[in-house]
Amino acid sequence: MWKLIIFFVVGLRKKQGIIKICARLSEYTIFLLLFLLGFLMGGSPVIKNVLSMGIDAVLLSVFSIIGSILAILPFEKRLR
Amino acid sequence: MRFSLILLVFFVLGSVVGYFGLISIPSVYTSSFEDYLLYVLLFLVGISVGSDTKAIQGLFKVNLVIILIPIMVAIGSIGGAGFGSLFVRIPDLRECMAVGAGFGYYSLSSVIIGKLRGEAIGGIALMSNIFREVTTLLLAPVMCRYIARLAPIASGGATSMDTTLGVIYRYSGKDYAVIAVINGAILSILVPILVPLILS
Repeated sequence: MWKLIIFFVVGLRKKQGIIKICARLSEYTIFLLLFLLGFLMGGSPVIKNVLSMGIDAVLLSVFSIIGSILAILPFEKRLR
Repeated sequence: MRFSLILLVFFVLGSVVGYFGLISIPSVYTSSFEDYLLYVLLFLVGISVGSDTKAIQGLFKVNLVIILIPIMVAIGSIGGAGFGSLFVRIPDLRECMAVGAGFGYYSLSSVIIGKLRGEAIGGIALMSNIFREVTTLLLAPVMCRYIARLAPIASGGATSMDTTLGVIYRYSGKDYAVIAVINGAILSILVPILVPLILS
């Protein structure tokens, strides 16, 4: 904890330092939040449906990708 | 890719700990702790986006067509996920659209969706957006060859400014790298705004 505070104070001297510290801190926060998300999911009955959830996730991803590609196709010719 | 794997490890580790009840924490504490962590994360993301002067300056220099690309990607992605709701077992259209509004930014979108609508849809958002990134990394050459050179940028979404930028640069070309960075920057800003907006 103290190391973190010292790094932050030192980092304040340089803007680049602040950005690096923020990036590192946000990484740790994301790790913790995803651990908590998994923890809550694992403790609830939702975990039993993980396979069907995975299929839904893949389907939504495929439709999102197709949707976004179709939406930008008219711009392809303009950029050439 | 390494970062994605680390994230998955944390998520799976949390699931295992929760499933076997290795740690017992009352849900009241985890919920409020999660709230504060999310505020901290949004603040840090705000600093990172705001301090990226190159991306911000780039926004003002480019022409309208390039600005329109991320807007169209956002509309297409949300619309596509909305259409996809017809084929999945998620009854709420807005939840499907919110998953699509993650634009591949799985770490942030899954946490926001999980917080607002429960861990089940949060888990789906995480898997869906990781799959989006992996698909872009694997299929970028095919997309460029058979669809369009802009296709990997659209598919990568918010990741087109970082993790998928390498494959975009390689297969779409150097000229498209600038578009990819601007596309990723705008979509990254839009995720914490659009996801809660869709679910509100």
